[in-house]
Amino acid sequence: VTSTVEIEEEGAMAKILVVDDKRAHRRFICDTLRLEDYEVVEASNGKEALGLLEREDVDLVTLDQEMPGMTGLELYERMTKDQDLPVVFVTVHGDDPRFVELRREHIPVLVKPLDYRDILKAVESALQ
Amino acid sequence: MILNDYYSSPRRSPQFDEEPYRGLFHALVGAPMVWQGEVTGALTIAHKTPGKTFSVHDAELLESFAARAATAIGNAELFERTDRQAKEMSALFEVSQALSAAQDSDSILNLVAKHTKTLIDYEGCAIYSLDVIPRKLRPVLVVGDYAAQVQEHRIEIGQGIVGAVARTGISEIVNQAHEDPRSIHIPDTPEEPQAILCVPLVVRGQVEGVVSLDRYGGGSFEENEKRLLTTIVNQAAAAIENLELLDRLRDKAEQLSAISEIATRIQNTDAPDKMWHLALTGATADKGLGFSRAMLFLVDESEKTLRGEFGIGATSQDEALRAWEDARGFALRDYLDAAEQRLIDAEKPLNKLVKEITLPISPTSGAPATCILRNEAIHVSDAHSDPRSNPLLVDRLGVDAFAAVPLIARKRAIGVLVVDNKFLVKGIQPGDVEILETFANQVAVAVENAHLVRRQEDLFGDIAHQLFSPITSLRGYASLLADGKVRDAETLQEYYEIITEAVEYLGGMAANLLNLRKIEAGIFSLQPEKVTVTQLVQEAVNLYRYAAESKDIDVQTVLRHRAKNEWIEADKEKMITAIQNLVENAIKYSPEESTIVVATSDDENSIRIAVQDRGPGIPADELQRVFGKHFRGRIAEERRIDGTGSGLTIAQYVAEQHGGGIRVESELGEGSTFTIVLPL
Repeated sequence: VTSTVEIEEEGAMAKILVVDDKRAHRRFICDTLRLEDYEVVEASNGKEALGLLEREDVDLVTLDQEMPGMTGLELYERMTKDQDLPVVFVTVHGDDPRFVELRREHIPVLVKPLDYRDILKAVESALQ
Repeated sequence: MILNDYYSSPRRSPQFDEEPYRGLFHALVGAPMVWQGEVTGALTIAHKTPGKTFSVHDAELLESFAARAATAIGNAELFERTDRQAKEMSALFEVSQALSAAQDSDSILNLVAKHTKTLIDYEGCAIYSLDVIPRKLRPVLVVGDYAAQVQEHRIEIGQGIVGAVARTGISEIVNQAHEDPRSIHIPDTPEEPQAILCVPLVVRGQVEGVVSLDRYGGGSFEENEKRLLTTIVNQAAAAIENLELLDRLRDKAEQLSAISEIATRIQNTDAPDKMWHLALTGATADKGLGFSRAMLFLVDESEKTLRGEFGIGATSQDEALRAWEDARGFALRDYLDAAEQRLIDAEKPLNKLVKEITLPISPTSGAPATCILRNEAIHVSDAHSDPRSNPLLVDRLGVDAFAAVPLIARKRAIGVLVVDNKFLVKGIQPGDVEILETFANQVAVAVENAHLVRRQEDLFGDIAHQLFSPITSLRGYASLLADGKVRDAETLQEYYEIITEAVEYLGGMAANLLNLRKIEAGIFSLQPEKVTVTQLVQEAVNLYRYAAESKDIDVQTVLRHRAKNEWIEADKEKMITAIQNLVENAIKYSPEESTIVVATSDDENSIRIAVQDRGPGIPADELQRVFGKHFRGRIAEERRIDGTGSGLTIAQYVAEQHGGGIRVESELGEGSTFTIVLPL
């Protein structure tokens, strides 16, 4: 019995927004999170994500960095302007100095290709 | 000779019977003056007193005296001539030295006027230059009392004595100019006896001017003065020729350095239109190659045509004049900077006209297409009558004299550069064509290098990125399955399918890249066997069933070909790859919940396999390029659609290897249809 089960029993599973332009990536993250009974909403770009955040009460956002239009970091800047929201970054370029810096601030940064365990671990740590 | 009774001698000279000599001579003795075996004169003495006579002794004395006098005079003349010649020689030497040191044609002409004065006495000197437009003699240097009047006067070829000399190219002395029927009177100059010495200035066999000397009041010119002036003028002509040669060398050196600057910039540019912009700017800039217009046609390999891509230059005299004014004081660098920033207006009439032109690459199409076929530059001096030029160049672009050079990179013709000098008076010289060829080679290599580097960088990046999607699926779902996280059969099945799809995708990508490599290396070969068209279509479609389902796309197969055309000879695997690539593209570009139709049809000679989607369509300007190696369309870039730009290249190659081809029809916002046509 994991801690998440306890939370589930309390009926308070977190709602997670998954932002990724790549179908396969988004799908895998969503499938993984649903397996753990998180509530999941999806967006395929930054604009869509900002719209969703206006309407929905979201506990955490997973952000893909390499998206056309608005990148993950750009989206992060805009959505954390007037609220503090836990995030998990997903990128191909884990060695980017900006992500090195974020890790230092204890913001999880996942590097593709992903393993389901890494996703869950990052989400759990970010939610705390 | 002694004539002692002069008036009764039959040998007396009748003219001495007349006044004022009449009655003067009663006795006369004469002796010849001989110098160096030639009679140079005669010495005569006479008695005025009747009855007086000369003796033989007197005659001998006179003879001796005459001989001495002849020698003295001869020596004096010889000395004078030698002295004059020495002076002339030294003056000529001085002229020649001064002329060869002159830096420009103005100072050459000044030297002619100055040094001529030391050798030939004149009152007026006018040096005319023959202008190209209008074709008239223009006084460039006038010396003398009437300089101001002469300065204002332009002379037509053949007009007056100066004009006549310009026409014939032969020096003339006209000592009675006022009586010569050709002579013209320049207003406000005195109408008095005038002698003229006119010598043409001939540079490289062409009359480029006339030097004219005047003497008023009856003085005349001598042959030796004509000879002297001709010598000076010829030396001046040689000096001008040298200057021009030097100028040309300097120009050539400047052009070569300009070419290398343009090539470097092209190589460091990534957008093709910017590269062409730079190239054409270089061809037309005054400090570049200096042509008045440049037009670029690019080879469309699939269509076997030359497509008008870009044009820089004027379409009217007014436009040309304005451009000329605007260009004042601009350096080549300014132009290239502007071209790099795309500050040159693409809406200019010539650019639009060029873009409307498509020419077939065939031997009968004329230049520029024949440049490609023959792999050489073509220089046409009259496009209207020369059968080597394509009539569209004359009709649409108003080309008259032009040069066309192929752009060849790695033995492959990528286009043709056409230049002309419309609205400029100068024509195209063989030397211009040579430099244009050098330029075209450098441009082609630079363009190709830039493409290669960019393509390789892009390709590696693209491939690496595209590996992430299937690998994420593989690693992710495999990790879920391995840990036994999933128990229910339906989800398990779904995950297996995702993994299978990812593996198929990776396999297809690897196969495409390998096939492309084989095509490039020329080792792509077919293994034909008997297959049915239905089989080919179904196998290709089945591979993408899952991908289609995940986007809720309905792939409909409509087999309309007749049963008797069912069996064909084809390389099954490669033909499936070709169809598969079309289906994969259709799925990638289709919106969710849309329909893709894979339809077959046939007639007596061919069978067609068409894949129709309801995707965004292909922009018209990209339609003919979609089959190009590693071509990625704007929509693919904007929407970040995966791909290595190899699928269509391979599909086309496979279809062509089977003796057929591939067609594309597309409308923006409506969708695209790719059709493989195979001969029966």
